[in-house]
Amino acid sequence: MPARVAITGLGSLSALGQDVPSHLAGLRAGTVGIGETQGVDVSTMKTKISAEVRDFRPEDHFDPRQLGLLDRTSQFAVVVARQALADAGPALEGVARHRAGAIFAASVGFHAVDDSYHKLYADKAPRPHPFTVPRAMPSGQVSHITMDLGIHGPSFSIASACSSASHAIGTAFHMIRSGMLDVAVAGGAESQITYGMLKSWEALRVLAPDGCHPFSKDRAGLVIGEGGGAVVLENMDRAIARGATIHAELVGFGMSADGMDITAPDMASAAASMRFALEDAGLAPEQVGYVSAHGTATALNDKTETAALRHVFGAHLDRLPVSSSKSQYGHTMNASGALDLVTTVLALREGFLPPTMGFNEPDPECDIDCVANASREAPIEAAISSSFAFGGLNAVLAVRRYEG
Amino acid sequence: MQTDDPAVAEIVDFISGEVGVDSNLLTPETPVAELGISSLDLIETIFKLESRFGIEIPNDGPLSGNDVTVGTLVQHVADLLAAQKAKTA
Repeated sequence: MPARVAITGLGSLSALGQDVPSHLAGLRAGTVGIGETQGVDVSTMKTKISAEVRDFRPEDHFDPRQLGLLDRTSQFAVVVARQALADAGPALEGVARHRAGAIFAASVGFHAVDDSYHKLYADKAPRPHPFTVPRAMPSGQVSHITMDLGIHGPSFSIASACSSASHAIGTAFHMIRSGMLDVAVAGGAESQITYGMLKSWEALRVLAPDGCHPFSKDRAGLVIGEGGGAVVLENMDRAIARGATIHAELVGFGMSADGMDITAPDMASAAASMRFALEDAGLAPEQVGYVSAHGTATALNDKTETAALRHVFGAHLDRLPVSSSKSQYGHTMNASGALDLVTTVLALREGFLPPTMGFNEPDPECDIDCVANASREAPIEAAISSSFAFGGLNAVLAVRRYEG
Repeated sequence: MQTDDPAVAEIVDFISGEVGVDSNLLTPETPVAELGISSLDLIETIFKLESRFGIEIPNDGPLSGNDVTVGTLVQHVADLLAAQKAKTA
């Protein structure tokens, strides 16, 4: 019989704040962490806004020798992994070395790449900083987490663009459910707020000029965010036996690949991943009380996602609140699946619906209750968190409230 | 490390500051590994020496092994500096 999987630790870092309590407070209050970009000179860009993690002081978390090897992305990853494990208590105590793992999003250290290439190309430096490779490598964040937390079992990175963290958490979920692992730390972090990457996103013509407005008729694109999210997943019996606080139960994971287009989403495939997550969880669509949407606020994503939701939930969608927290902490890319799962777990645990901020005008193509502009109290029995990545790689996680 | 050569003294001071070890503890015979300088730290120190003194330390020089001593490191940098001076003189 497959093992049940408890979520016993949470960690978060985003434009909403640098820990889970501030994340929760921001969700409830409808805080919008989007503003004029400060970390990069955006004077030559049309898009001046992003959702930055302001006032993050790496030296508060790392000693100088450690810091030299950590890209901003890895810094975020280690900080949220530490938070999640601290929250979970002694989750790693007494676990055999090969039965505790770490699975995270694969995120390029873009700051290292940007800095080093700038020195090479613009400043004509004879060579880049010698740590460019270890800082930039996409598996850097998970390696640093294993070193920092003392994890010695199966550990690796997963790349599926903006679904990376969801695929990472879902894979860790499967590994515990199948009996391979007792404990896993999983999630993702990313910072693409560099000159080169902001320019690259702008060139792709998907950035909103003035704000993030998911499901609103005037939505005009996404807002780049940065941050990290992490969860500690644990065999349910073990978590109960050691008296851990169980935030929620992870009950399902659905995946699909559009196999269609490198950027445009596909309705049927997005719907399939949600349906598979519900089937895997043993949940009827009517049991779902909240959807944390992918909700990027591009014209195409939100109407495609709405159609997919209608396809899966039918008439129940009229009573099913769906919101996009990207309106609050931006699109954090490889971190988004983890941050959105943390958001979903908090909603379940605390009994409230996180809002879609920046909603100005209903769109007939997005005919959903998107919890416009203010959070609401609501008991939620079960919820899903959706990630529909560029390239059609979809991952949906299903969670259920844990009654104890 | 005792020296009458101001160029060598400057190199020793720079290394001592970079690796956080008192310059008096930097004897020529001391392997850099014993100062808590890992192979990765040595690579970064070499990079910083290159930037600080405007020299290029070749990859296949005497610093490529695992048993580099303080003396080897300092002397190699001093030699490169002297060669550079001779070239520009």
